[in-house]
Amino acid sequence: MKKHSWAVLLPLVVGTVVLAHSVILQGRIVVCYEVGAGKEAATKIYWSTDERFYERHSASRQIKTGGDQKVCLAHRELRNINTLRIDPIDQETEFSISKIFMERLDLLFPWRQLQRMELSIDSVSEIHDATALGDHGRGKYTALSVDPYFTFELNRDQARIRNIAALNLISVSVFFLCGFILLSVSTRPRLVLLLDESAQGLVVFFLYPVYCLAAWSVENYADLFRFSHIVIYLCVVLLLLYSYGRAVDRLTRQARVYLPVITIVLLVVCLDLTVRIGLVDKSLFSKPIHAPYHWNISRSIEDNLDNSSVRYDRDFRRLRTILAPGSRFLADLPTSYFVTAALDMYPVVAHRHHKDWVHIYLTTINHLCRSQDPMGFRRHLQVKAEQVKTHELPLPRYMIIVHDPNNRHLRNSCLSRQFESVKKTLKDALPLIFEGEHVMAFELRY
Amino acid sequence: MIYDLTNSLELHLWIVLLFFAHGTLLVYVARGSIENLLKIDALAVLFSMGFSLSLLLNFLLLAVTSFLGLPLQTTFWALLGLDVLLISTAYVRYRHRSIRLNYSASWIWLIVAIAFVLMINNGGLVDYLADSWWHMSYANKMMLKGTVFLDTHHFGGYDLSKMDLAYEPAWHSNLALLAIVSDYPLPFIWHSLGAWCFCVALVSYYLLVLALTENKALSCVSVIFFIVLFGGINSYARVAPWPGNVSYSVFYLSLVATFVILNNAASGIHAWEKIRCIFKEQTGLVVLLVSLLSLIAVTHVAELVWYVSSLAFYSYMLWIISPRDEATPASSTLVGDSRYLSYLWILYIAALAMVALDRNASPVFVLSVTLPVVVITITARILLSKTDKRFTRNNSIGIAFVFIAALLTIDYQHLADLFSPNPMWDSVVDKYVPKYVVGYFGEKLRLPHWDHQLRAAVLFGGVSGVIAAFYILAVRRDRATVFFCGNAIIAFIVILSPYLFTYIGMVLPVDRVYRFHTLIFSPVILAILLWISYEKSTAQTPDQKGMGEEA
Repeated sequence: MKKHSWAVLLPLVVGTVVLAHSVILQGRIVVCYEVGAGKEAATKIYWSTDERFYERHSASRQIKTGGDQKVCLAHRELRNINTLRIDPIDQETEFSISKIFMERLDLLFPWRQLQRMELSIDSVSEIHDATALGDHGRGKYTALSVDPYFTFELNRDQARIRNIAALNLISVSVFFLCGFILLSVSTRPRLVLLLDESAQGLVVFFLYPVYCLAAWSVENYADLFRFSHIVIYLCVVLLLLYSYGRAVDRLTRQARVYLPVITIVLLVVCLDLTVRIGLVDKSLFSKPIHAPYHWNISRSIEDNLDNSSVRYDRDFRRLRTILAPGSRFLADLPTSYFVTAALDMYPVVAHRHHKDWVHIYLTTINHLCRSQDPMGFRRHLQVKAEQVKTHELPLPRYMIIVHDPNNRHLRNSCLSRQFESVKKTLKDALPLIFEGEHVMAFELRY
Repeated sequence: MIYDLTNSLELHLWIVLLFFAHGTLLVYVARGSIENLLKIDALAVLFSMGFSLSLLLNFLLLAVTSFLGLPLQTTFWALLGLDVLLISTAYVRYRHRSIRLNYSASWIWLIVAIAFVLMINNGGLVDYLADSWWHMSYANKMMLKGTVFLDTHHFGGYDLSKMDLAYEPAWHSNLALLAIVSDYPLPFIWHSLGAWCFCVALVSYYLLVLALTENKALSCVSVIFFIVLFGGINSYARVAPWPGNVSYSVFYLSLVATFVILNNAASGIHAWEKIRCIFKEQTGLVVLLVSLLSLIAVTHVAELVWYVSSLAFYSYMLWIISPRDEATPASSTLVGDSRYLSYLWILYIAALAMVALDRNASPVFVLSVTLPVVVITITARILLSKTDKRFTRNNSIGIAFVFIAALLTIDYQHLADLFSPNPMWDSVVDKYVPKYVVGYFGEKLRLPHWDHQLRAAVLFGGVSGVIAAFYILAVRRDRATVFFCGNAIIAFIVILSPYLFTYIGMVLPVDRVYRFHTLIFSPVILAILLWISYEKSTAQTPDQKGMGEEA
């Protein structure tokens, strides 16, 4: 049989097996966790599309005493749930629960791993009748009744995006692998014949995830079938076309050069759709933490400056002559950073990784927004001052407020949302020493 | 004053004057001593080295001014004086003899111009309140207190003895100088510097690739990939004005200077003699290299570790795969490099262990994490020294053995986690610790947390880059492929292996070690892959060659 016939036949066989496996186990999802208890008990899961749970939508299993036991409960209905409830035990005793995850059964290893959704105890929406023992992260609890349970709100949209991201990546990697292996066999000195044969085999092997990807996407995620995926599939088609053309030796020299180049350019553009070109609104990753760091074609100079402190520069310059240099000030988080980058002053509120001492004033701003009581706020400041003294830290001397509805950072602060009432409270509670176009400063009195 | 594109022109002129002028003049004046460097691409060298040397000169003068208790404003006049002196020197020195500079046109300037225009709008102020404001606070305190040597912490206000986060002062002092001289607010300066710093990074990257590949087209493609491919922190365009990213540019330039020195180093003599010859014959380049490394040390010292690590990894790769014959120019370059760098790997692992011991790590712990590294080193040495270093069967077995040994140190659960991001893990306290090694050796082995700016870099750039690196190394071995691909592979293994990661983490804090992904030079690796593919696709068969010759 010719080499390229193998290249067609083998993926077909592999693809048939994958699809058959998918059809047999279609929609089955397994929930697994490790649970350990001091007594014999029954462990149970409930699933629901809303917040109510019914016995008919549950599954249970007995667990023995001793160490942690892995419990896996599978069901077809689990696929469309929004809420999952785990009742680790039905006894009033100490227990442990850990390594909770959901996994689809209708894809073959290793791609099933990509579908796995880990559930951390830290992220439960409700803990009922169970209290943590010691380190919360270790998963050891005491049941306060015979009905302890944990409820998880499943953000399936997030999980889907996450999985798509991983598979996108794999398709990209597959492309690169296939691409360079195919390209590598274009010139064949005698020595690399073996490499050539191996390359054909590898190409077939790597077509397998492409099959998985196609079946998986069409079956489950037609609603999320976005432009970016069409581009990726187009690239795969181009690659197959290229592969076929090389196998039957029908490609011109230009096609041999430009086809892979066009494919790479398409892929690069595709990866850029989310962050830089902005055609796709959802990020490839569930947490687009890298997006703000990259350039974006639509970002303007005003976008940046509106959200910075440059428009308060005139006020800050005046404040330099009014406030005592080297003193500490109280402000909300964005104002703390804006001020410290403009004045010779030190904030008492900051991100955790920028301060190594106790965050005494973290709750003060919220207290101010909530209470709107001048005397109450002064009492709150006095309580905080006592705490500061016990830590032998200097007291803040000023309170600074920046009001600018156009600044996104400040808009997120409650001081900005309730500016008028907060301003009134502060004016009643503390002496105003500066009021500029955007910035106000008060002197803190204890 | 309304700050927008129109009135930022004045600030951009200040940036050129303070951050480029005197460094560029210095390179121009000293061009006779660094001729070999200028041969690569004179304009690119003037631009990028000009920036780096300007920063260093500014910092030195600011330090002297602060030490003497003079106002920082004085530095500006001193710098103007220096510029006049340099112009005079250039005139006197080169009035009668001209040294032609290689100003050949390159597509890189079009790419850089496009990037500059993009970055004028994007700027350096990222969309949320990140560390950039912390850095501006540092520069602001220098500006307001009139010294680069602060006696209290710029953000916490407490004594330096209680300082939680120490930062090298060079970049911040330069920002302070620019703010004093231009009278623009620091956030606007930070925004505007984004375009300049990113362009310097691009040109430095271009120079590094060009110095190693001697191929301008490939270097330009690498730079395009650097701009468009998602990468790690070193390719974050909008974070370009952060001191770490400024330091990355200098790191690339340091590697360029190192390879230019190696290019022209004498061969066939003893080790001390070699070093003496380098100092004697290439004094200008050595001084330049030392200046660049000093700048890294006073800007963001982690890049010094990357510099040494990249050369050590290159040394290791040379050790295990370099051919020893000098039949081809590519091989002779590798052989030349291996003569100078052959023992750097051993020095590297020994130095790391010594630093760790010096920092009071327990000797048993140091020994435990050193063991896998030593095993990999010794097996490589024993297995490969017996062969003739060509790609023979024995050599392949040796490489396979070393590779398997390295693979055994990898935490595969951690690798799987790379492809399965879990937003719920953020609250886990011991996020850097792979679960299966907790408690071994009395202390914890660590691994980087993928979501700490690392996942996107490794997924989009790293995985493809590392896979491609293996292929490239199998089909082509020259200085560029061995350096870039070797670094990518070893850096990737370091990120995955708790033993290797902890080993290097003993020297640097954990939140810096994860930046090892910088050494996965994905853009250049993918560009080399494309280039090899292009060459293969367009290669003429012997028949076609014959026909061509006849015609």
